[in-house]
Formats: sequence, C-alpha cells, structure tokens
Amino acid sequence: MTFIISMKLSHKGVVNIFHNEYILEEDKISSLHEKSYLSASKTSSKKWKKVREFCIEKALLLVSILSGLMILIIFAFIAAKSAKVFQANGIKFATTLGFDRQIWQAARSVVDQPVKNFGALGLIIGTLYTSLGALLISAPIGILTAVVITELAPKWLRRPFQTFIRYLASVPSVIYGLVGILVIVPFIKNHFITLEMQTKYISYFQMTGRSFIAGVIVLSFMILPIITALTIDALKAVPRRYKEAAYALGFSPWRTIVKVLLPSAKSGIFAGIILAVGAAMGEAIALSMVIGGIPNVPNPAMCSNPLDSLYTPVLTLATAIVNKSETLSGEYTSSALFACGVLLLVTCAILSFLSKAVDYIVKRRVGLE
Amino acid sequence: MFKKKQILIFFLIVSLVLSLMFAFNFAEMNNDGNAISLIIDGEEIKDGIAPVMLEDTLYLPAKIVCEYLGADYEFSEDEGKISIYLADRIIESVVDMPYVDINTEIHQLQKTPIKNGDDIMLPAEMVKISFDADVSYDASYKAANIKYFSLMSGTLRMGGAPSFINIAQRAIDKLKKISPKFDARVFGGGSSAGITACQDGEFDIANITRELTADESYYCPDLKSYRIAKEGIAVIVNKQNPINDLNRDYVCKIFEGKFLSWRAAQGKDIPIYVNVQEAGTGTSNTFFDIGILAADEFGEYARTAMPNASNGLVRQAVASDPLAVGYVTFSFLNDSVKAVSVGGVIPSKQSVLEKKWPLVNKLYIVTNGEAKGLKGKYINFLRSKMGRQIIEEEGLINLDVYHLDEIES
Repeated sequence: MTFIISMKLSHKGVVNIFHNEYILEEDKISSLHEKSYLSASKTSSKKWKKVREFCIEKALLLVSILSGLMILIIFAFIAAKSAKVFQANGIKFATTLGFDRQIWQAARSVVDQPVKNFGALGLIIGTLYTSLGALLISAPIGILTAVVITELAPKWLRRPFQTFIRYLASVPSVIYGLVGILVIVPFIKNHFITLEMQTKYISYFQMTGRSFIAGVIVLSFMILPIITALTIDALKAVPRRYKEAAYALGFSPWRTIVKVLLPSAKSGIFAGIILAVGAAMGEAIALSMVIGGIPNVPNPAMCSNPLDSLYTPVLTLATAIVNKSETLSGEYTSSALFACGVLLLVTCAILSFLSKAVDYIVKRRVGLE
Repeated sequence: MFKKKQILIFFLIVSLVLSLMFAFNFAEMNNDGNAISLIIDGEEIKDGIAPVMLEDTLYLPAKIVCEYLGADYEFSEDEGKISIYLADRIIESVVDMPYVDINTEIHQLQKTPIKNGDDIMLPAEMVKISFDADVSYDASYKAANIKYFSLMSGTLRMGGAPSFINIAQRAIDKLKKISPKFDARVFGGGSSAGITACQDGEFDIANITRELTADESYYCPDLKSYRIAKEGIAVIVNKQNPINDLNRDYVCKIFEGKFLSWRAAQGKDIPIYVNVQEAGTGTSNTFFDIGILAADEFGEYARTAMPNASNGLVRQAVASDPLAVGYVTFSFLNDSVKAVSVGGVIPSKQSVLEKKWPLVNKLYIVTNGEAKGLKGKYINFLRSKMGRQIIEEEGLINLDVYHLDEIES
C-alpha cells in the first residue's frame, strides 16, 4: 500500500512539473504570437496544447494505477498459491524445523498420502543470521567509508571514490556469487578448516567451506555500497552551518564528525541500513552458490569451539526458493515454496515501512522538519 | 592471334572435363546394374537391402525403412506377421495378405507384402498409407524416393532436463536442414518444470530424465511418455581417494550417512563427505530408487549430505574435495574425478548394454495427449538411425526396442 501512495504522490509531482513548464512555454509562445502571428492560429495552438496535456496526464495516471495493480496482483497470486500450506500448518510453518527433508519427501510422496507438513524455522533463522551478520560487518565499514569520502579524503579523490562505490552497487549479484564460490569458499576451506575439525563434526555437518560465514562475507560485500551511498547522501544533506558552528566552538575534526555530523545524519543512515537488510534478505542467487543449502541452525553450544559453528551450511528463504525450484511441479511442494515467498514479502514490506518510520521519527526528534 | 589460341586451349580443356564427367556417370550407372537405389529424405541408403521392382510394383525393404524412419520392427516367422511400432501408430500386416492394420483400423491394399528371399518387402503403397510418407519412383535414375521427415512443417517448443538440451538441439538442427519448413526451440529448466510447462501448454514436448511420478500421472492422466534413451549413473570419488570398488551395500550406506569414515568402506581413515543432487532432479530420484531404496527399504539420504543443483556442480565439488563422494551421469565423467566400479562392474557403456551396471537412468519425452503429427515425427526422428547416432555421440545409450519396457537387471 505504501508503494501505491508514494506512486500517487510522485504522479502528482510529475504532473505539476509538466504544468509549470507548460505555463512557461505558453507565456513565451503568446509573447511571440503578439508580435507576428494572427490570433486565429494562436487559439488553435492553445487548444492543441490543452488536448496534449490532458492526454499525457491521463496516460501517466493509467501507468501509475497499472503498476500499483501489478503489486496487488502479485501479492494476491502468491497468497493464493501458498494458501494450502498455511491451511495445513498454520503458524507451525514458521516455528518448526526440517524444511529440506520435508520437501524431499513431499516431492516423492504418492498421491494418496501427500506430505503436507512443512517447517521453515531453519530458513527464517538462516535468513536472519546471514543478513544480520552481513550488517555487523558492512555497517561500520560502510559508514566509515562514507565519512572518509565526504569529510576526510582529499577533494580531488572524493568524486572518483564516490563513482566507484556507486558502480559497485550496480554489479550483478551473480558476479558476487562467482567470486564467492571461486575465491572465498576455497579460501575458508584451505585456511580455516582442518581434517581434525572435519572428522570431529562429521555426524553434525560437513565442512566444505560452503557455509554460513561464506554467505555473510558475500552478502556484506553486496550491501556495503548501499549503506555507503545512502550514508554519503545523508552526510551531504547535513546543513553546512552545523559544521561551521562546531569548528567555531573549537571542536576537532574527528569530534565534529562523531558528535555533530553523524548524529544529524542519523535518519538517513538508519534508512540505508534497513534498506540494506532488505536487500540482504531477498538476495538469492549469489547466496545459493556459497551457503551450502541445508537449513541447519548454527549452534555454538554444540561445538567445542564456538567459532566452528560459523562453518555450518545454512539455507535462507530466498535461496530455498531457488535451490528447490525443481520441485515446483508438485502441489504441496510448490505451495511450500510460495509460502517462503510470503514470509519474505512480509518481512521486506515491514522493513521498508520501518525505514520510512525511522526516517520520520528521527527527523522529528532532531528537529530537522 | 595469341588470344585466339588461348581461347581454343580453354575450350579444349572444358570439353575434356565435361566428357570425362559424362563417362564416369555412365560408368557408375552401368556398375549399379539393375539394383534400385533407395533414397530417404534426400540421403541415399547404401548399406543393406535394395528395393525391388516386381510386376510394375515397387517393393521396399521393411527392415531398412523401419530403421531409418524410427520404428520398432518385428516379424514372426511362424505366423508371417509384420508388426511396426511408431511413436504415433502401430502398423500390423501379414505376408501375402492384402490388408494393413493401422492403429486397429483396417485398410485394403492393392498388393500384398511379400517375402523376397529372407527379406520382407513392403509394397510402396503400403508404406505410403501406413507411415504417412511420400513414396515415389524415378524410373530414369532407378531410384525409390521416400520423404518422411522432410514433410515436417510447423514449430515445436520443448524444454526440460538440461542434459537433454544438446541432443534436442542437434536433432532440431538436423531436421531443419532436412526440412526447411520445420522449426523448434529448446529450453532447459529441469524435468519437473518441463512437465509443468507441458501441462500448461507452454511446451509441446517435455524432455525428462526420469519416469513420470505417480503424482503427475494421477493429476494429469493425459500425459504420455515415450522412451528415448538411457544413461548410466556413476558413483564418483576424488582422484586422491584410493577406493576403486564399492559393493552395492556400501554405496547405499555411504549415501545414507551410515558410514562416516572411508575406513568402513576399506579406505583411509578420513570422513566421507556426501554430495547429492537437489530434490526433484531426475538423477537424484533415480539414484535414490536404485541406489538406496533397492538395498534398504526405509533408506534416506544422509542428513548432512550437501545438495548440488546439477551434475556439473557435483563433479566440481567431488573434484575439489579429497573426502567427497557423489554421483553423476556417464556423460559428465572426465579426468577430474574417479568413477568407482560397483560390485566389480566397471562403469562403462558396455556394462550398461550388457545390463550389468546397476545404476541406470532413462530419458523420456512427455507429451500432453498422444504424440500425433509433428510431435510423433519428432520422437520417431530421435529413434531413427540419424537420431540414434546423435544420442550415441552425446554419450548416451540407445534402447534396443522402444515400445516394450526393457527389464533391467
């Protein structure tokens, strides 16, 4: 719904812009007309302009309504497709484990006794852990990079730096996945995993390098440019007089950044972080190449060295949909995958709502608006 | 003057060449003698039995025609009964009887099928009616001309198992060359996705690497499957692994996760890392049925088994990990991994043909409803001599008969 409202607002804005331009242009034309043209041609051209404006306005309205409808249709379609699994499981779908085993059984089950029970708790935990883990790595790095780019770097370096970060954001996700499987996974396997560890945990999980930590590293690379770019925007939006006031009071540059700039850019930074979490949760292709594909729950208590639980293979909601897509022809299996889609959509919708809310609340508290 | 001489020499050379060509042509025609050449879809068939002309009727060799048009051919000596099984029709007739039975519909014939020496010969008219082919005789060249695949016109959309794509694409390329009016597109997406698309009418044909599941044939009774080829599934280990042979019980226990160390299978004392393929893939289902369920009724894949999306990824995973074990189809075997023998049988095409190799996967083509017209002809093409050659070159194994289910060892 928020999407539709924002679409409507933007639509009004666009129309206004059109209107203003039109008025300006008309003034120009009418002044020309007064000089050289007959009044008859003047009225006809005016009429034509009006018709054109009407057409453009209605076309824009139609387009915005259509795109809003599209979202609604997608929501309705996914909800209808997933209804079977939610009917059979209810809330248990989000609170029980064992998704991969259940999908396998359901894909092989006979018609008379379909497997209806699915539990996606492992996927939900996997999704939360990987995206929060990625956030822990990339939020500090991203914010500090933004500070360096806007405040500390020499002036001639700032623009290329910024272009570079923006370019990173446009790299397709499958490239990150390739780098992950060809560089990061072998690196983890060769440098951190030993044969003793592999022997010790063989009945618990296989340490092949495709793991939770590999997923976190790949994801943090992916969301770093989002956080950095939005933080740069937020820092640039801080009024110049704040900084000048801080310097006038004798603050050191570092103190100015920590005490003045970052707090006043807080709302933008939070919005960027939440957007990044949303992107991380929805990421499928790159992750599915590196995280192993078994919905385990990393459990430090079960490992003699808690850090070893980082090498657990996990599965997230989005990667489950990609990896198990071979089973889409089954009735309940496809329904279960759509149910994963519903969980993803709901979390992402909540997150995008949250980012708007945080933006609003923080701005109001700081007194920018 | 000089120019005139040049022209004269040139003219002489040209006339020499032309006369030589004619001479060779005549020599060739004389060599052939009275034999009639058989041309199927523009290609001359040289091996085998030649057509004969008796009492102004052209007779075609049944075996050769069936082989090149992709039909199963059976002849029983005692009853003199000829049975021909195509994807879209069953043709039955009896030697010296003037009728033919096409899909239980009886047609009258002018001439009867005959026995010429050891060979069964069909009259041109019968081939025309029963195969729906175009048969003509060119008296000046002494050639019998059959047009079957070159009559195909229209477009097909197909999709399914990725390992089927190469075969389908090569068959389509060949068919396009034979018949310019034919066109087809082939897509991937996996066996199950192919079947779904076939049900929805998005694809005319689904290429799958497993049998139809009970679920699919129950919900969509119209789906019909046609056997095309088979392929062996090999158990692969890393090249550093000293294991060369596993018995079937070991294979089952390894993939069930009951063996945790290679020592249990008489190897080094290192853990076993099991690689399987994702749920829903043809290879995964087949391996589970033959490799695990056949040995242990309540077996399941190991809980820690690493799922991979495709044969290629399993091979890559096994090649890069000294502990790993996995399974791929024969066409994915290469030097980067080691295929172990199972129960002393070496994984090779030969052992599949001898029905000794236990892990065999079958390739099917699925259509929504009976395969008629273009679809039927496409299936017939894959079963014809040209299609069989493509399948062989792609590393798969052709079936001996298509209309009967072979009993696997």
